[in-house]
Amino acid sequence: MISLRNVSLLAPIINYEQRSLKKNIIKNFELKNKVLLKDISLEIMKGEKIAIIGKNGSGKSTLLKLIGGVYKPTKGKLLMKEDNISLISELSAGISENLTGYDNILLKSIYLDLDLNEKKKQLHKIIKFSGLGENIYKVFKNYSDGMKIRLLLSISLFSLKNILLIDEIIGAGDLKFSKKTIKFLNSNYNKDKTMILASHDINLLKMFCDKGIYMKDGQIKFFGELNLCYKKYLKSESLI
Amino acid sequence: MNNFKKAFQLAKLDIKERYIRSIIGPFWITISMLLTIICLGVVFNFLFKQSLEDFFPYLGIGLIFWSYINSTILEACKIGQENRGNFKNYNINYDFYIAKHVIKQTFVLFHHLVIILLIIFWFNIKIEPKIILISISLISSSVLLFYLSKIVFYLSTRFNDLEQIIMSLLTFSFYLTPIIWKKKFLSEYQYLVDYNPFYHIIHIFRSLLLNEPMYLKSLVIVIAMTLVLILVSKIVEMKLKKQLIFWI
Repeated sequence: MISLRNVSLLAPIINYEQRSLKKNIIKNFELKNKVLLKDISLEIMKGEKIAIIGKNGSGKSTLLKLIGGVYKPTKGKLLMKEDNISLISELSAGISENLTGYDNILLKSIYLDLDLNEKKKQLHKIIKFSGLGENIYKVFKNYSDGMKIRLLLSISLFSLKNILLIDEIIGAGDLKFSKKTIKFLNSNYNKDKTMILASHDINLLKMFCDKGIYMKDGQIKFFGELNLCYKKYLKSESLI
Repeated sequence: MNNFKKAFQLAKLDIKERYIRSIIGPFWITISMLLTIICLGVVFNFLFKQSLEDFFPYLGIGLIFWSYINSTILEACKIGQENRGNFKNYNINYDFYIAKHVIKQTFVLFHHLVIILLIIFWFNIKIEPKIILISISLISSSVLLFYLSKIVFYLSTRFNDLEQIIMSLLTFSFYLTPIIWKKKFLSEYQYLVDYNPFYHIIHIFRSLLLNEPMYLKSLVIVIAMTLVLILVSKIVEMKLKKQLIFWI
């Protein structure tokens, strides 16, 4: 279970002067904060599949990263009954352009906490799923954009844990690969596993989720049935 | 996979990436270090009128371990920048990145082992059983550098200009530490060197590798410094950790 109780996240407003030790010694700066998330209360039960919708800058990714442990709440409490979480946001994080695709599997899987022994078995599965074949031994920066996405998404998919937080990336890649990804997630993410998905693509969200969170200005405006949530979103943002 | 294993694997891949287009890899740094030692050795041998057999090994070991200390501290300023994407997308303890950084620098130091062996054989330095202590000394200095790197990482992520300040301080420390000169050159002011923490780290390695008398004082000072750094790093961590992600 994931439980957020009155969680707020504040980030300092940073300018050049505040980054300078010299200027901090001469002048005592008072750091001002901006609100990224405000008073979020939420309970997500095991096995629930939740969509997060909202326009850019509404706090979708920030909320995912907060649940994923990248950000720590400034106020309030975040309680997790399980710490077995996969956060998949920026695909290229943990990648080195100068290494081969094969080395990048090793590299990214360390960040994604794939066990070394388990990884050896998984390695071939990842290569097979990506469809890169012998190209896996070529330098990553020479891959086409499509090849890069296929490899990065494959690594992420094979490191999934009991709670999955995905930010926008399911539809990445060509149509054929997207279908493959969706099929993989559908067959591997059964009733026991929790999934929270942030996306602008309502059709994609409907494939996986039955509940939705509508976010605006760092606040939850609605949490409930997905179709109703989407209607609230369209209405509130004057999209209909 | 435990964090140390992970940090070790990542450090290996980091080194591989940095020297991917080079056949001899990090040995480029070793060659450059060897040339520096030869040039400085010859010049200072003339300047200070020292015997080559005595001064060259002293200078060589001093420079190798100074470069380890120097690059570990200086590059700790870049941990935040170099791992920005990872910090922002993975929930991994910051200590893990610092460990990776220290392991990477230790890998580079191991490449300089070739120069140390060359010095030992060329100048026919007798190897004594106390050389076994080198592994313990290396572990203790790595632990010290881990906590020092941690402090540098937190502060330089928060304050951008700290890297320049540290760079200047390290250059200053290089000349103040007996690396290219000997403690005895200070005659009645030799005691001043005892207040220099870098001297004690380097002295431990010199005494083990060059059969110089080992001072218990240096060992005690290194351990005491480590304890102080652990305490300071905890305070810095408590003050800065929660919001550090926004400064990266």
